[in-house]
Amino acid sequence: MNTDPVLADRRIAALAALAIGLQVIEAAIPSPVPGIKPGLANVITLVTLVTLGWRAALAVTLLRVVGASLLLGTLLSPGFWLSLTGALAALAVLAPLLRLHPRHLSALGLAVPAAIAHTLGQFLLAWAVIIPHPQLPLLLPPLLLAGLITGVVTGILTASVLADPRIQRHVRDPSTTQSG
Amino acid sequence: MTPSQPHPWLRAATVALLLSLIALAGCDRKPETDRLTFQAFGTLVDITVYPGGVHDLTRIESELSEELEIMHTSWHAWEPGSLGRTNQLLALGGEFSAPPSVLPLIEYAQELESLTDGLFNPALGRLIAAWGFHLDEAAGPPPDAEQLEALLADPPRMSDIERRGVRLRGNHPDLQLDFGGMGKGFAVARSLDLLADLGVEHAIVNAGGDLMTRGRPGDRAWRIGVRDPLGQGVLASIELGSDEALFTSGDYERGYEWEGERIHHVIDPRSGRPSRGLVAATVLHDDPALADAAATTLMIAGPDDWPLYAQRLGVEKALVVLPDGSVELTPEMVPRVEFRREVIRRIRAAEPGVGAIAP
Amino acid sequence: MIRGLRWGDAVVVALATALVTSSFALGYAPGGDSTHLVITQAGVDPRHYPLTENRAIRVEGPAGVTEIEIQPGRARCLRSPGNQGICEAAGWLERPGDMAVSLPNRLTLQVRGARSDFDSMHY
Repeated sequence: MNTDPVLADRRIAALAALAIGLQVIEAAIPSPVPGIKPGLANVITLVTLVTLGWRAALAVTLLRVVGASLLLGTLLSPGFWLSLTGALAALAVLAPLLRLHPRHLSALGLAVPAAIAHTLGQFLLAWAVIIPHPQLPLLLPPLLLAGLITGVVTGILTASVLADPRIQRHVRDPSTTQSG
Repeated sequence: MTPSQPHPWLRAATVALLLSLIALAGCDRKPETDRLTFQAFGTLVDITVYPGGVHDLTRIESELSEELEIMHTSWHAWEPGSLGRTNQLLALGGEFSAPPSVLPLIEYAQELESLTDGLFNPALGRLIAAWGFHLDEAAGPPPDAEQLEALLADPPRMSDIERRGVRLRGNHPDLQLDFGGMGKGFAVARSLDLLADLGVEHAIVNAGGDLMTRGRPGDRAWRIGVRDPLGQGVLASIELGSDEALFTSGDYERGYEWEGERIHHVIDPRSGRPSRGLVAATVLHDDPALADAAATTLMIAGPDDWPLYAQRLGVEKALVVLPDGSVELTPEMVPRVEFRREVIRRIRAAEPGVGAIAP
Repeated sequence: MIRGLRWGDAVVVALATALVTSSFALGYAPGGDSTHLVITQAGVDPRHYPLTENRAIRVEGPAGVTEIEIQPGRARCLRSPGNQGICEAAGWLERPGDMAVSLPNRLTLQVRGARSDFDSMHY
């Protein structure tokens, strides 16, 4: 475990930069279905969570959401609030699940609930605040399905990133040493 | 636990995911049936035809409503029409030729009256009228005790009509026919025949809630929702095949309030008053006229005797609703009904050997 | 195959799949939420109203005016001519297939969902 505050800040900054880059690239690629995106930046959130803990993950997430919206010009727009809510909902679910990693849950088992929570959080905000339309719940099932699929995809990507020996050294496991 | 092996649960989860994707892709929103609703026969008529989008609905509506209006006029007890004229001639006591539109109803009613020991008695038109149910919008005042006594002293029966071929003679001065309890069954059956002439092979004719099927919507059964007689919503669903009639007689259908009391249109010939003890009686049978008459008879028979009269009429599938909301049904009806809310239900069959009629 | 899978992953994926499947089942099942009100009246084409926002409708009939109230997801017969109050007694119509009838005004109110639950209503 690393306790050097400067090194920790640098790591957070580097990971946040990666996440912002991924989100901006993703925003540039038109999605076949509006409102559904692969959410590749979540891979960075998961990697940060597993290697540096949930405080660092929260920092990276906030930097990513604010930074990307500055670059995309969406700061404080509905899209920004949706992005922030989704990211915070995912983190809220991940924080308790982190204790089960890597002994009982792999990155896949973290990514799927995170993606579902992301979708649900965004949906609830949209329904309660932005467009309170009674037919909107009919959109939820396909959105949840999309969340499940992107969760599996980001989970697999995160697992393969974490499997890299250069990253593996940093994976935190409070109870045992690496099980490699 | 070996970490690199895929867990069987994961495989099951993948299969479930694929299945839900297939279910999503299979959503088909094309209407498979057409519905049309119009006013005829003194009630709302609702026609369901299969397949959707191929029939001339305007023509169906105009032809059906015309035919139903003709039937309504000929069978209306108190308006100038075949039955109105028949009633006048019956009261005169002379012999006359029955109008062909009315004769089959008279023959059938005579048979039903003897089967039900007079519980089903369309000759009591005067009693019905005394309660105000000859009007389109029923209204009081109800008859007082004296009037009722006079009406029940020597009540006319269907057997008071002498029938020789098509010649009729009325042998009771108070005899007035009222086919309110079976005319709809005839009307629904004839509407289905007319639909068949118009090229519709698969249809439901629903007249004021009572209905009959013909054909089938593709390879499934017709799905019928049974409205809850005690409140809103759906009590049950019933699946019907071809040529099945579902008729209900209920105290909520027609009636009025009089001095705080609910007066409804099913009059018990024994007491001369609205029937008591049942909220509704439903009959499923392949003969719509019998289903119609049987539903009325079971309502009148009441909570104790309805299984007995169902058996006498040859009705195997029947269901009644009691004032406390519970439901009683025949054993043959049980597999046909799927209840949509929590309901207390009892299975009732006619007890063998019980032939006595309640006083 | 992905290396490092744990038993908990299977549980999590199964739970998430169950959530998604049940959301489809609840959201799209017949008998789910009603989406529109159909008003039929003798001699007039059926009229459809979405059940999306608060709204009051007045329908003229042979016996007078029937007042209908629409709220998101439901509708009811508020006042209708006739001395029996049958139309009003039907209460809120919420589930697809729920129906209120005004015989004096010769009209029916029925709420329907994305898919109709029944071929015909018996009453």
